[in-house]
Amino acid sequence: MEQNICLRVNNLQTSFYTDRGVIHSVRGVSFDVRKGEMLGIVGESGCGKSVTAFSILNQVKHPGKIDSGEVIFHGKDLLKLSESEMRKLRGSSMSMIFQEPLTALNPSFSIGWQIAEAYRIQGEKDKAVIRERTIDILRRVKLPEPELRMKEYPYQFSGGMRQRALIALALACKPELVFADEPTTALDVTVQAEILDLIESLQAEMNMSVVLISHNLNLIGERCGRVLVFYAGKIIEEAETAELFKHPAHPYTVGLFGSLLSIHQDGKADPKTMPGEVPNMLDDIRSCSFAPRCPYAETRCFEREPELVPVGPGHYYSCHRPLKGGAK
Amino acid sequence: MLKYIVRRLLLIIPIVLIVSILVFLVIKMIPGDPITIMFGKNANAEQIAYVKTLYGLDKPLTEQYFTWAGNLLRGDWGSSIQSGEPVFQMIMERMPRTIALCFCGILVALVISIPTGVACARRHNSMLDLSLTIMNLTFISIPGFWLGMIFMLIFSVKLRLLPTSGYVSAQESLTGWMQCMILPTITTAATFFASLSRLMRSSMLEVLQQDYISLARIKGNTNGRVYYIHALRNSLIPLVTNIGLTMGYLMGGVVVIEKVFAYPGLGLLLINSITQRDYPLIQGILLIFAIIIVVINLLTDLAYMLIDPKIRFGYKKT
Amino acid sequence: MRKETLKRLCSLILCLVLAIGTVLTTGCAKTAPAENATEPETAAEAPTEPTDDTITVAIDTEPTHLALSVSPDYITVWVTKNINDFLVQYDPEMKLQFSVAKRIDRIDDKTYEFEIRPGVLFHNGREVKADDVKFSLDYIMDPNNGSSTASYFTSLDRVEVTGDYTGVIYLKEPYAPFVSRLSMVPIIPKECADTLKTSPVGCGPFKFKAWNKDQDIELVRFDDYWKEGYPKAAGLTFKFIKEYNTMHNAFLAGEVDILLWSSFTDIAIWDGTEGVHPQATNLFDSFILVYNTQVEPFNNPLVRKAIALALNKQELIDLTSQGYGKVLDQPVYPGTYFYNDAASYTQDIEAAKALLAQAGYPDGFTCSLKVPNTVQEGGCGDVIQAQLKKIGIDCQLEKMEVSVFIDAVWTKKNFEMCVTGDGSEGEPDTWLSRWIKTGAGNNVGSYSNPELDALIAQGAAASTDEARKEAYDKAFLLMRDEQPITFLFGGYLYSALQDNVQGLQGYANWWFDFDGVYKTK
Repeated sequence: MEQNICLRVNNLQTSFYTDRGVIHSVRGVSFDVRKGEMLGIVGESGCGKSVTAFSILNQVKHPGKIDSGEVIFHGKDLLKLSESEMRKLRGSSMSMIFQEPLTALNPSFSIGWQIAEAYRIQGEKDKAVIRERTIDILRRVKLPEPELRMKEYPYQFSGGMRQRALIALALACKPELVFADEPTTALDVTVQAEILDLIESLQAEMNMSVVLISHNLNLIGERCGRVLVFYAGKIIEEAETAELFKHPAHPYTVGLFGSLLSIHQDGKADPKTMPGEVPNMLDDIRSCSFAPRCPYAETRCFEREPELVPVGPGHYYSCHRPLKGGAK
Repeated sequence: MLKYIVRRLLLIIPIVLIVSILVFLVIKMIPGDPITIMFGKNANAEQIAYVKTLYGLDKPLTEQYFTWAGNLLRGDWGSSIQSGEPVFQMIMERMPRTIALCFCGILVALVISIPTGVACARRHNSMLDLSLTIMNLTFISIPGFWLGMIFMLIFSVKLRLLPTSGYVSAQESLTGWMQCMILPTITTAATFFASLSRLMRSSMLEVLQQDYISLARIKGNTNGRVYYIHALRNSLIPLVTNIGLTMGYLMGGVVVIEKVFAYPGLGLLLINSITQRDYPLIQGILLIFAIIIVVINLLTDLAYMLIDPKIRFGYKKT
Repeated sequence: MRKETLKRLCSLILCLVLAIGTVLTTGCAKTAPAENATEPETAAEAPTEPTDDTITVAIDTEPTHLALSVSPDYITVWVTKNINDFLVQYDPEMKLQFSVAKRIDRIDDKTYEFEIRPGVLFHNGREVKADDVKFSLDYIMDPNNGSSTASYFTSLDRVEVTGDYTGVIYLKEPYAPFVSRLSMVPIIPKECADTLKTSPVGCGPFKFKAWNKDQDIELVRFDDYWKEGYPKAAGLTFKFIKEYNTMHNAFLAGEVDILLWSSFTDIAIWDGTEGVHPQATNLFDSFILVYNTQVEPFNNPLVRKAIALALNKQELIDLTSQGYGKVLDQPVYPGTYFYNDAASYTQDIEAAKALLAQAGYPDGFTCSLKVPNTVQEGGCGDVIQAQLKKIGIDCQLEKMEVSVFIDAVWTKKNFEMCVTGDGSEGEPDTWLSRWIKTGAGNNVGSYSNPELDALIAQGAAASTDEARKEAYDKAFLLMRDEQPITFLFGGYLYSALQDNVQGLQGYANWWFDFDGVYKTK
């Protein structure tokens, strides 16, 4: 694997085996995460973006199961590792910032204890050192009076403080790769920016790779260097952010931009919603998953699923229709 | 917190008052009276009537109640009609034994139910989960005293490992005490460990769905720590509630178990006193039962405080 | 989906298997009787020297107090009989023998002179004197002590002490069974009278040691007991195990030496189990059917006799007592001196129907039958109800707790027919003066017959056995036709003993002697 690639995912497939049937959440996702980059993953709810992250961390909840695929990290396929090997690897190198901090923090233990535990697991035995490091990380996430905050419990914090604490928890052991799953969705708009600034600055400080997952295209556009667009369990477009915003190739991506309210436009807010709905994930999808909603759909779109094909340097999309240069 | 405890303890007073009235009335409604029973078949009506006046049993009910309640407030619990011994002394002799039995029973039940519940939740829907579930359902359906008799048959009669009945105080012989306690304790535990285990399982399953469990794993915690430290504390609350509620039920069950094993606790005393219509004794014991249950409910609430920090500190936010 | 249904099916099958398994184990809960009943080991020679053994006896009720002078109910008797000794004592054939008394001479109908043997000691070391005999009798007669034994001594006038070991007893009226009543009077020391109920002192073979409430009562050998070589055992412990099954198990587990009152259903088990054996005591007790003569139609002797003739008493024995019992029709047992063959009767359903018709109830009638919910009395209720249906009598059976039964029958006299029972030492006056005589304490049916009363008095006062029998013969004949109460059956009490335990002596009046019990090696 190349030197600057932190994580490589090959054809990851994850399904949920429910009483009503099998839901194929992730239907063959492949991508790389480069060292030190902020990679954005955007898509609607249910498109499989969070499940992808959970699959990589092997935290898919029952009745979900990873069907196949490879997750190469530090030269090893994580999905083939034993429980204990996985554990060793995870704590020190990969972490996650959850969407809802209230459920991601254990209500029965103090914040300080939960953060300190990360250090203890890493092998730090000296109580004084642990305490220092805990206070330090809390300070870094800009929590006021960290010595006092340490002893408090999650329910005593406000939303924004909780998310900071959660970030502290995720970053306590200086991981190489962090997944941030909708880290600001549960927060007020004013706080959102602060949190994202915080993540950015910490990323620079600790030289981490961050995978930022969101349904908010604007947010992704502001913060990430590269973007993956998910739809119905697959990546349907992949590009550098600037390129994507200038030349969105896939009809879905185009539709996404069309539905954005942007202040940069001429004051006339005229969002175009995309007709139709996300496909029922219980069905086996043989054709292009977006075809039913696509204004450009042809017969072949309903017959077979398109592959990811290059459109430009580092820019791929999966669609049968060739691009005639520029947005459609 | 102290204020809370004091407030709860004060609640005992109205509860005890109501219980005392109920207990008093209910017992008097049962046909039969202690004097007739004492004399048995050799009675004659005059003798009985005379002795009744000695005990004040000829007076109107309200007067009897207030006499008893009044004495109670002064710390005089009365004396047993059958044996003449002071009621309070009789109760205090036996109460520690019954409490020890309940306590050990709960302890054993927790020791069995928590790991089995956790194991079921861990290996959700596996063969282990299935077989433990079946075992639990079986135990829930079996009446406690029957189980006690079976244990007695196996361990005392066939194997001669443990005594069938009786009691040796711990001061006399610690091993003797433990031997006497084993069968009644296991029987007591068996009457409700199964439902506790089911509760633990379902409670833990819910908790395991939470994000903080995923985070705990991501951090690198071993499975053991994830279940027994991160998950357990949050799963215990329904269990604690259940134990508090079960206590009342348990006190009733203990009565039967004491009879089966001839265990000289409050339960056995209660049965005998009811058979003999020994009013002061019955009233005293039932009152103590009521107080014990109130105190246990208080302890349950205090236990919540230990487990759930929200309750401990109140819902203050910084 | 299929995997889930498979799992559910498996769990259902497993549940069924478990359920069946538990049902089967309940069936096998008791040890199956062996094919050949083992004979108990032939009794080794009784040791002449006292042994070191403690004998443990299991009983199912705890006495409320230990003062035998106050209440001679069977539980108090079992525990305290051996703490005490009496002027006279029954032998296994229910013949009176001298015990503490050396002689009792009947001076005349109302005067008896007694002499006690010297050298009998109380447990506190003091020698028993004639004074103590007087005190023991006075104690019973003192109404403040509430003794129910007093009802047997209504004829007692006073006791006078004439010497250290001699005295005279004066009666108010002649009372033939008087000397036998002396077997019920424990000789107690005045100085210990206050603590009689909780720590009794007597002059019997065993001393009171400790009473562990709800658990047991411990007695130890009285080393200075006047009878040489007794008691054989060093200690005697009565264990209270109130749940019969637990008592059964404790005995099988070898935790107790003697299970004193075994249920009849267990006898086959004791026979068939290695290491234990049953022992029968022949009793003179009886279950009886009592009629409330204040209530129609039980005021009519024809109705009562009809009922007595309709009953199949052997069936009662078979269905309530596993066949262990003897049919009764009089206050005394067949084969004993006072039994009157002429007054016996057997089942005769036709005669019963005829009598009912004669009494004006050709189609029978409805009535209530109250019984306590014990095995035997409750069982009698069921069987009698079924049997009386055959002559058209429809009984509403009410089974109730013993204390409720006593309250209804004795205190409130609120019943029509009821089943109860009592014991006897074979003395006819015991039944007659307590149950049949007008106004007697147990005459709950309010039966009153002056002719019978006269015969009862005659039998009690007559000076010779022959004269007494003459009176009782007439009385029993009268009772056969009057049926103030109907005698049903009685006769056996079975105990279970470990094979190495010998020497238990039971008596027909439900008393037991433990002073001769010992363990073989």
